[in-house]
Amino acid sequence: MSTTFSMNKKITLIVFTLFLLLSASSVNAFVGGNATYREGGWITVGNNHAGLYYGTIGTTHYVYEIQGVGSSVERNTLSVFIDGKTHYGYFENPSMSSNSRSNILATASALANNTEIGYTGFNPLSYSNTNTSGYIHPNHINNIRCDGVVEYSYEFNDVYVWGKASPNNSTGTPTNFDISKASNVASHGNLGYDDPWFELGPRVQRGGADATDPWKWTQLRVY
Amino acid sequence: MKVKLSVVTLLASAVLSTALFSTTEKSQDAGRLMKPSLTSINESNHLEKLLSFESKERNSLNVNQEEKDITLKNQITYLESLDSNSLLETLGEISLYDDQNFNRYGETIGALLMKKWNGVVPNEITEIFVDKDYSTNFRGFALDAMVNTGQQLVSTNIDHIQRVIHDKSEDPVLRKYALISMKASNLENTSIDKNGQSLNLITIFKDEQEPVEVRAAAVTAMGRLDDPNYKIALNTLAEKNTNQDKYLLRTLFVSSANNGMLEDYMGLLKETLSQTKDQEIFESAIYGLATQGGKDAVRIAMQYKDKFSGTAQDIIRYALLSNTSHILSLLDSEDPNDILLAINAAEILQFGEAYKKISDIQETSTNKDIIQASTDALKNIDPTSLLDPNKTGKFGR
Repeated sequence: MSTTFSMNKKITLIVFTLFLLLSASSVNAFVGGNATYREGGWITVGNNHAGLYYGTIGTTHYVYEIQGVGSSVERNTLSVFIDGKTHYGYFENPSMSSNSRSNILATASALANNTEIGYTGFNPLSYSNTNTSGYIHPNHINNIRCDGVVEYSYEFNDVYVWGKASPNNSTGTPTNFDISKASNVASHGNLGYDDPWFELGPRVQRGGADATDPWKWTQLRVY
Repeated sequence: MKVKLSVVTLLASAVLSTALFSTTEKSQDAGRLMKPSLTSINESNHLEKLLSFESKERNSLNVNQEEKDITLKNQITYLESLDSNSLLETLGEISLYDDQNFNRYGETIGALLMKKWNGVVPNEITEIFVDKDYSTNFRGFALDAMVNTGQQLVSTNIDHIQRVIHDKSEDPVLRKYALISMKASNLENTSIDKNGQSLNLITIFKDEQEPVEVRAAAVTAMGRLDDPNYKIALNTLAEKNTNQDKYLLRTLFVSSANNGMLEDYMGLLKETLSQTKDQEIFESAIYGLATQGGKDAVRIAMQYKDKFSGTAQDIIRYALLSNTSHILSLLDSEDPNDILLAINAAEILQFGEAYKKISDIQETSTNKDIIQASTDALKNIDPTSLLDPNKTGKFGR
């Protein structure tokens, strides 16, 4: 009798723990302001695709993204964003406060509402002007890439993602993060994934760089 | 014998050097840009090679990450062995195989191309852009390479762009992309007059048979090139029979604001904010207001912050975030309504820099509503939570 009771307690505890874990993972991932990534195409060598998770309208999840030629930054459904590809999940900078998340989403909204912003595959962003302090506002941006939507929305609000390392090799320390500062744009302009102290891209942002310690080169962590 | 051996050795060295040099040269660059032929694209040689590295279960979501990493490495190594013309050919092949995701491949291979080209995109690239035999995405890639890598266009590039933007039989997506890619910084070495008037963009805008996205993109181009017809285009967008089109109305608010000219259309903007039931139009108007800036931007954003049941909160927040200096000014206003809305705006933003002012207002005000609002705000605003802790001035104009 006591053995059966003890076994029942163990089973109950296991089931309850599983329930908690499942609940946590299904609820916590969908937090507005998280970066999100998926595989790029049906050939592996395609660049990953980045987006900024918005939240839900009703029960439908939405992501800010720019898809390519002819697109502007748009708020599309999560299923449109993922498009049947491998989804790498959600990422955050652990230092993000609730307030900074709100500001990040506000900035992404500005990018989406500036319908004059076009796509480029050659740089995270290009711009035509700055404010008097040398910072790029959403209305100064001409073109942006998918990882640029994440990088800019975060770093305009002082939440860092990637910066070129100093010294610029595998022993270096990431620095000069803020892509909204015009003087940092050029250093963000090398796309790649195997020299992450020098190269930026969605894979590097999500900790997928081909390096000994890929997490050294991004401030994002799995949410 | 010794001489013969020396000659043989020399010859062997020469042959070997030539072979190595040829191999090296081929992997660096093939010289002048050659458009990939449709025949070679259809042969798919490079595509087949890339696919040969894929797991047998490619397109499955079950391929493990380690396999994918190996595949990626092999594919990159293969691509790096190709010269620039072969890389372009690869893109042409991929555009037939997976055009929907083409831009992802364009990004990867574009980076490799820039290395092969030593950072200087060949001017001939727009020959791909203008060629209707290629896919829209491949053509767009070619234009992107030319106009968004910091290079100056030459006359042939302009001819190619002109040809596409004025050709009504062209894909409107490509025409739009070409139009919004126009910027003065690319045109210094061309015969295009300083304000782009010779591109004749006004004719595209005025033609009501043109797709609205092309007409709107022409307005964007005129704004970016300081075209003297830009104001005419904006005024036309503001006219009653034009501003009924959602796309064009949004373009009016966004483009005029981006170019510092929204002030002339504030009457229409306020009317639109009050009457529109379309959230996209509403948000474009708020974006315009936020960009134009000023105390009115704060006042109006706060007036409409709950429209659409608060689902437009992000752009409202952006309007406040980009006008924090005006929120501080409004806290100094003589008008109690201004003070109240500024306190509320500061609370929404968690504007730590405003804490001291609100605290002073709470102590000195005799207005009950202001006292209550400031008391509530001071409970919710953390004075150490600063929007611009490093005082960079990044949110200012």
